[in-house]
Amino acid sequence: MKKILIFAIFTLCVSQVFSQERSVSGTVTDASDGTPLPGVNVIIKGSSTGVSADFDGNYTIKVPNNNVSLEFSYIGYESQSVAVGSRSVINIALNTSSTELSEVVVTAFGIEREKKALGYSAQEIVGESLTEAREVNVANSLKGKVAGVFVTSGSGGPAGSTFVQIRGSSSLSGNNQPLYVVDGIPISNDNLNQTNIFAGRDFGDGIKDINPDDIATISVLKGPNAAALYGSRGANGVILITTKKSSSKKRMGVTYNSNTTIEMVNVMPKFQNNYGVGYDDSFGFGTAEYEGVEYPAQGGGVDSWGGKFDGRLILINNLIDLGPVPYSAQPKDNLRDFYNVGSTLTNTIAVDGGSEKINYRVSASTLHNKGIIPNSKFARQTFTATFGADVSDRLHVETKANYVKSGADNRPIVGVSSGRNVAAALNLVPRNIDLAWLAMNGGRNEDGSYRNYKGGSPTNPFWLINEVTSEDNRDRFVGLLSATYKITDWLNIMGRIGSDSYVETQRQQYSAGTPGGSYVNGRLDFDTYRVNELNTDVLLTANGKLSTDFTGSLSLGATQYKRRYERSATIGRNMNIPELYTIENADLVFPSYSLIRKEIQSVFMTGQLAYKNYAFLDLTARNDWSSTLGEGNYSFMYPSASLSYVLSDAFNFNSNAITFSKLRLSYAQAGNDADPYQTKGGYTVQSNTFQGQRFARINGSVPATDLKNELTTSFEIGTDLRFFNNRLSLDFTYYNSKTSNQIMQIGLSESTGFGGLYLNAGEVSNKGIELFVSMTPIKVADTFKWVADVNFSKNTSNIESLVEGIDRYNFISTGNASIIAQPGLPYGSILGYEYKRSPTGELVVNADGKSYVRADELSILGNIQPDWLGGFTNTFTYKGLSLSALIDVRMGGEVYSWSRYDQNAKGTGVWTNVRENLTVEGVIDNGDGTYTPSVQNNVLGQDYFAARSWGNIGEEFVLDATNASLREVTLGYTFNKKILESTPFDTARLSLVARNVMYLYRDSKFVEMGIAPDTAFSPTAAAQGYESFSMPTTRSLGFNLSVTF
Amino acid sequence: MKTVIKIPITLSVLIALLCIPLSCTDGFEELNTNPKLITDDDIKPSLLFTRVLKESGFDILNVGRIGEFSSYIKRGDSGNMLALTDFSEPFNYYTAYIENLAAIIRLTADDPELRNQNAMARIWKVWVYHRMTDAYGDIPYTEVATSFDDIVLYPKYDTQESIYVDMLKELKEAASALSTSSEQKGFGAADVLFAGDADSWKRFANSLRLRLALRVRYADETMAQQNVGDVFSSSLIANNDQNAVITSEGPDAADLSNTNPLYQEVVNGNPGAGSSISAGLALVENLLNNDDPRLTIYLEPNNDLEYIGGAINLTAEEKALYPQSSKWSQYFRNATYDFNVIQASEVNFLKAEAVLAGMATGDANEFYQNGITLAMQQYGVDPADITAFLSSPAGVLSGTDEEKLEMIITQKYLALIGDSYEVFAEHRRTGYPRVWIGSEPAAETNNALPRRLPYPLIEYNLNAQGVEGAAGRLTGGDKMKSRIWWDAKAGVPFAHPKQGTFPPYE
Repeated sequence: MKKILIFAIFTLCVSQVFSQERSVSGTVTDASDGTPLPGVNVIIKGSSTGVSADFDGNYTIKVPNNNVSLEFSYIGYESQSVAVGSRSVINIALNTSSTELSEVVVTAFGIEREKKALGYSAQEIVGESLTEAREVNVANSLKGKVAGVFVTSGSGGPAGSTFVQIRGSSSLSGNNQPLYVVDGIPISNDNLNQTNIFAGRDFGDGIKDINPDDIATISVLKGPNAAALYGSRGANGVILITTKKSSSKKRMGVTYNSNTTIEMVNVMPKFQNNYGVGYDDSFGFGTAEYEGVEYPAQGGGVDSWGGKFDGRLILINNLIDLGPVPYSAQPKDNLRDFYNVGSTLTNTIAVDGGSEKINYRVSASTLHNKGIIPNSKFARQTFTATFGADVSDRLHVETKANYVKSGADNRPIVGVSSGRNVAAALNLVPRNIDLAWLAMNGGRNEDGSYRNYKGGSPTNPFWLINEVTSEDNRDRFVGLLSATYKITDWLNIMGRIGSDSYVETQRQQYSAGTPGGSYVNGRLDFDTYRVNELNTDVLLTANGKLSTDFTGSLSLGATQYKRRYERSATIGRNMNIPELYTIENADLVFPSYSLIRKEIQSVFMTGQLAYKNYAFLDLTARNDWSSTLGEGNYSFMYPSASLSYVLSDAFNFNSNAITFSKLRLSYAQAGNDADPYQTKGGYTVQSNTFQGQRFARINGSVPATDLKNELTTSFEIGTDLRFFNNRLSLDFTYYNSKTSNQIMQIGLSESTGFGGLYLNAGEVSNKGIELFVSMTPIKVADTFKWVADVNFSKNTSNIESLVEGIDRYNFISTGNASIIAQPGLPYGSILGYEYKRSPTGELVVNADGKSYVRADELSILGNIQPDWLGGFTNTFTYKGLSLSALIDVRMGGEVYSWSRYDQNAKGTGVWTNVRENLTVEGVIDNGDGTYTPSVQNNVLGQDYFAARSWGNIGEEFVLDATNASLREVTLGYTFNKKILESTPFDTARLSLVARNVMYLYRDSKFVEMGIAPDTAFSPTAAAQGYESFSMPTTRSLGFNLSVTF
Repeated sequence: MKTVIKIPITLSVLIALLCIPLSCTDGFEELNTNPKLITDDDIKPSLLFTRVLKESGFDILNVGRIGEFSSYIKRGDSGNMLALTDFSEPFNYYTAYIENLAAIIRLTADDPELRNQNAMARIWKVWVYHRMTDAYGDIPYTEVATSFDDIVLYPKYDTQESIYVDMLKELKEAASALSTSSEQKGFGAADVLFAGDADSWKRFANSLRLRLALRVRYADETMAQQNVGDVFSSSLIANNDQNAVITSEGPDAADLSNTNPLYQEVVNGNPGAGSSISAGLALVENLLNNDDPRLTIYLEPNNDLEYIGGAINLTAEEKALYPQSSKWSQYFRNATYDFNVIQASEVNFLKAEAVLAGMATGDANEFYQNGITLAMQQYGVDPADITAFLSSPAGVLSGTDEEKLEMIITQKYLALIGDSYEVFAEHRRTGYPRVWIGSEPAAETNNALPRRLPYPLIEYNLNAQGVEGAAGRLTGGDKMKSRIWWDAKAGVPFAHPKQGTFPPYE
C-alpha cells in the first residue's frame, strides 16, 4: 500500500555526474511479499548523490569506486546499507519500518523535505490511521496521536466542529486554531454562525468537509518555527493535509473502502429518584378536578425540592388530560429511551493510475450519519479528481477539483439554555414526569398547542426535536491549478492558484407555540453564506550543488490571499397562515446582509543550505501586508532560522545500537493580523421599528485606528534519536514562545459609553516539552510484532501582561463564572466565588446556620489548561492480523460545570437524593471579626444543596477535567495474497473498529452526573473550560473493509 | 543561450510580482470599512432618539427587585430580596442611552436649525441620569459620553451633589433653548414622546426640574428652594393630556417586543412573572385602608376573594402562614400600556409638598386634591367616586406637616404605579409610604429596605480607582445600607405601624 501512497522526490540531492564512475543497478522489493518498491531512494553513503527506483523497483546508479556503500531508504521501511564491492547488480529486499515515522515530510508550500533536514519538530500521520476507526470530522482523529496537539470535539454531535490547539493558546482574541492546508492551499475552517455559551447550533467547521479516504498524510507543523512561511495565518501551527495521488506509470487501480459504525450513548446523565417539584420538602400541591373528583395538583414549578415521592395520585396542571398519575419517580430508562442508536455509513471508491507522462486519481465518497438525537442526521458527498501531467520536459501541471456537498437536519442546540438545548431540558424534567407524557403528539396537546409540564423554560425536549428544527446545506468547491516550469536544471518557477468557495444555507424553524418572545407566533431564520478564499502563489526556486560539500536551495515567493464573506440573513416572525413556514408568510421580516472582506499580500524567501547531507540550515523571511490593520501599519516582517545537525552522520558513529541521532535548533517569528473592521467607529441602523419609526445606535466598541499585528517569537530545540536498528526511537522537543502586541477587545466601564475597546497590548507565553517514543519491544521475524508508541506533551502558558490598568480579560462571562486571562496566571483561569471562610479556614454559614455562603470577593477557582497530555498506542501484528489500541490522557486542568450547577440548583442531581439528617457545620460571622461555631442539624435539602447554587458558590462547581479514555481499538486482518489470487482483488483488509470506547478515568463527580468532561460548546480555547450540558458522547462500533483491484 | 535570456525575464517578472503588494495596499482602507457603517455625516439623529426613548421608556415598568423595593409587587418566585446582588441596571444606561443621547447632542450642537433636537436630547439625558444617580449615588458624569476619539477610559465618579447642580442647570438651559419657531427641525414622528412639540418638552423639562428640586430638599434646601422658585409658576404639565407618556403598541403589534412587557410574558406562556405578579403589601393596604376606588381597578382578589398584599423578607415559617396574595389586574397586562414618565398628578403632589415646605405659596390641599383627581381620572374612576373620596379623611390634608407629607407621598405612590425607580427614590427621601417587612435576617440592609444599589461588581475590575473613590465617600462604604447625598432626612426609615407583628395585613 505504502509504496503507491507516497512517491518521494528529492530535488535537493540530485547530483551532477562524476567522471570515472560505473553503474550499479538492481531491483528493490518488499521483504514480506517480494513486490517491487517504486521510488526507493538509493544514495551513495556519505554523499548527497542518489537516485530513485522506478515504478518497477529498478534503479541504476553511478558509483565512483568499489569502496562506497549504497544506502536504500524508503518511507515506512527500514533503511539498509550495502557495501558495493565489485558487484554491478545489487538486489535488495527492504523490511517494513518499526515506526510510522516517514523519512519524507511535507512542509510549508507543499515542499517535501527529508525529515532529517528539518530543524524543527514535525509529526506525520498516515491516512490509514484516520480511515479505519474513523470520525466524521477528521480533526477528531488527531486526538492522542500527535504530541502537543490538544483536540476537543464539539458538544453538538459528530458533524459538529472540532477544536484543535497546538502548543497552547497564544492569542487572546484570535481563534488559536491551526491553519489547515490541503495540497499546498490553505482552506477555510470557518465556523459559520458560531455558538455562544447561551445558545446556538454548531453548524460545523471547514475541516469536516474532508473525506478521510482521500488523505495520504497529515503533517503537523507545530508553531511558528514550522509555519513561518504561512505567515500570519500559520502562527498557531499548520496542519498540512496531502491528499492521495497516483504515481505515474501505475496501471489503473481501484480502491474501495466501506465503513459502517453504530453509535451508542456512552455516558448517560443520572438523577435522584426521591423528590418532586416544590420547596422545603413539602408538597406544594394546589388542587384540581378531574372527572368531578378533586386531586392534589402539581403547578408549574421546576425546582425539585418538594415532598418525597409517596405514590399518591396527583394531577399535573399542565398535563391535566393524563388524569391522576402517581406521585413517584419514573423509570430509570426514561432518559435512555429518548436517545437513538446512531449510525454512520461511509463508502468511498477511488480509481487511480498513470502513464509515463500523466497520473490521475478520481474518488467519490458518500457518508450518511444518523444522530443519537431523534430526527438529526448528516450526509456528505465528496468528489475529488486530481490530475498531473508532464506537458513537456520542463513543464509540469497539476490540477485538483474537489466538490463537497454536505448537509444536516436538526443539529442540536448547545449551550446553557434549557429553553433550547435538548440535553439541558432533559436534565431538568422533574423525576415524576414520564417522558412519554411529553412525547404525545410529538410534544403537542390534543388541541395542537405546546405541551409541557410547565410553561416557559425548560422547553419540552420533544418539542425541541420536532418543532425547533434546522436544516443546513453546503456546496463547496475547492480547485487548484499549479504549473511548475523548469527553467534550467537548477532553477524552476511555480505558479499556483487555489480557490475555496462555498455556499451554505441554514434554515431554522420555530413552530408557533415555542416559548420565547419572538418565537411564540412562529419564526423562521434563514441564513445564506457565501465564502470565497483565493490564494495565488508564485515561487521561484533555485537549487543545486554549490561545491563538493554544500548543496543549497533558495526560493523567492509572493502570495496573495483574498477573502470574501457574505451573509444574508432573514428572520421571519409571526406566521400569517398557521403552520406555513415560509418567509413570505411572515408578518414581520427582518433582513440583514453583511459583507466582510480581507486581503493579505506577502513576499517571502526561504533558503536551505546543506553541508555533506548532515548539517542543514534553513532561513526564511516574510513580509505581510494585511488589510485588517490600521492605516500605516499594514506591513509587518518576520524571519526564522533553523538548524538540523545529524550527529550520527557527522561523527560517523552510526551503529546498530545508535542508528541515528540528530539535534535541532530553531528560532522564528510569526506575525498575526486582526479580524476585519476593528479600525473604524460609527453607527448602525437596526431593522426594528417602534410606532413605525426606525432605530439606530452608536457602535458599542471603540475602534483602534492604529491597530498593529501580533507577533509571536519562538525558540525550539529538539533531538531525534533512534536506537537498536530503529527498534527504539525518541523525538524530544523543548519550545518557548511569546506572543506580544495582542490584538484584543478589552471591556470598558459602562460609564465610558462604550462596551469595549480594540487595542494592542499584553503578552502571552507558552513553553513546553514534547516527547514521542516509538518502540518495537517484540519482533519475531515476519510473524509477530509489537509496536508501542507514546506521545507526551506538557505546555505551560502564562499571561505575562495585559493592558495597564486592566487586570482581567474576559473570554466567557456568565453570571456564574467567567473564563479569563489574568497576568501571572495561565491562559484561561476560571473566575468565580469560593466558599466564604473564616480567617482560620472554617466555612462560614449564614445567620440562621442553615446554608453555606459565598466569599465576598471573586477568586480564581481553577485553570482550564491541562497539565499534560498523553497518548499511548499499542499495535500487535501477527502475520496479516493486527490489533491496535489508543489510550489518550488529559491530566489536570479544570472546567466550570454548568451541568453540576444546574442539577444542584434544581435538585435533580443524583447526589441530592439523600435529604434527611443533613448537617451544615461552620461558623457564623458576627460582623466584628469574631465567629461563632454553628452546627445546624436536619437542614432542608434546598438549604444544604441548592443554596450553594443559588448563592453562586462557584468553587462547588469547578471540577477536575482529568480523564483517560480508551479512544480507539482496531482489529484488522489483511488477507493473504494467496487467498486473493482466486479473487479479483489485489489486496483486501477487514477491520473491526471502535472509537471512544470508554472512559478509563474521569472525575468521580462527572461519573456521578453521567456527563463527559471533554466536550465543548464551541471551538474556541475558552469554551474548553465551560462544560454546559453537552449531548451525551457516543461510543462507535463497526467495521471497515478496504479492497483494491 | 536560451536559458541565459529566460532567467532575467523570469526574474524581472517575479520582481514585478513581488512589488505588487507595495502598491496594492491602496484599496485596503476601503476593504477594511464595513459597508454597513454609518458615519457622523450620514446618521440621522432622529433614529438614535427613537430607540432611546422607546427602550428607556419601557424600562419605567420594573417588575424585578426594584419593583419589590417599591412594594408595588411581590414576585412569587423571588427569594431573599434584601440579599446582596449585582445591579448592572441602571448602570448599563450609559452604553444603552447616555452615549447615544450624547451623540445626538454632538451631532446637533452646531446647527441652529437643530437647536430643539439638541435641547430635547439634553432634557431626556437628565431624565435618564437622575434615575441612575438616584439608584447608586455618586456616578461618573462629567468624563462620560465623549465620542470615541477622546474617550476617557476610567471616568471619575462625580458627586451626586455636583450631578444635581448640573442636571438642574441643563434642564433650565434646555427649556429656554426650546423654540416654537417654524425654522426649527424637530424630531417629528420620531419623537415618540411628544411628536416634536417644543411646548410639551418645555413643560416636561420644568416638571422634571420640580421633581429634582424637591429630591434634594433635605440635603440642600437652598438648591431646592431656588429651583422650585424658578419653575413653580412656569409652564408645567397641568392636565392629563399633557402627560409625558410613551404608549406601547397594542395587540396588533407585529413585533411583540413593542407591547407591554407583562403582556409579552403572558403571551410567551411564561406566567412565572407577568400573570402572577402579586401586588405588594404597601399598594394593597393603602388602597384598602382608605376605601380607594382604584382598588378594583388596580387589583384582582386572590382565590379566597380577598385583597392581600405580598410582603418581602419573610422567614420560612412566615411564608408558610402567609395567604395567597392579590394580583395586579388585567388592566396592567393588556398589550397596550402607558409608560408614564411624568404625569400632571405628580406635578400637583410636588406643588403640594413645595407649599407645605414653605418653598412656594398656594393651597397645599388644593394641589393635593387636584393630584388625586387627576390620578383617578387617568384610570377612569367614576367622578362620583372621586368626589366621595375627596370628602373622606384621606382626601383632605390634615394633621401635622409631617402627617400631611405622608398623605401626599402616599397618594403620589398610588398615582405612580409601575414607576418603581421613582417610588423607591421617594420612599428613601421621605420615608413614605411606610413598608412592613418580614423577619428573615437581612444584615445587608439593616433589616430594612435598601438605601441604594451597590455599584456593579464589574466596575471594580474596569474602573477600580473611580468606584473605590466613590465607595470611600459613602459612609459605610459601597453597601445597600449606605445613604446617598440627598438621602438626608432625619429619622428615616419610618417603621410601619405593624412592624414586628405578624401577620401585617389584618
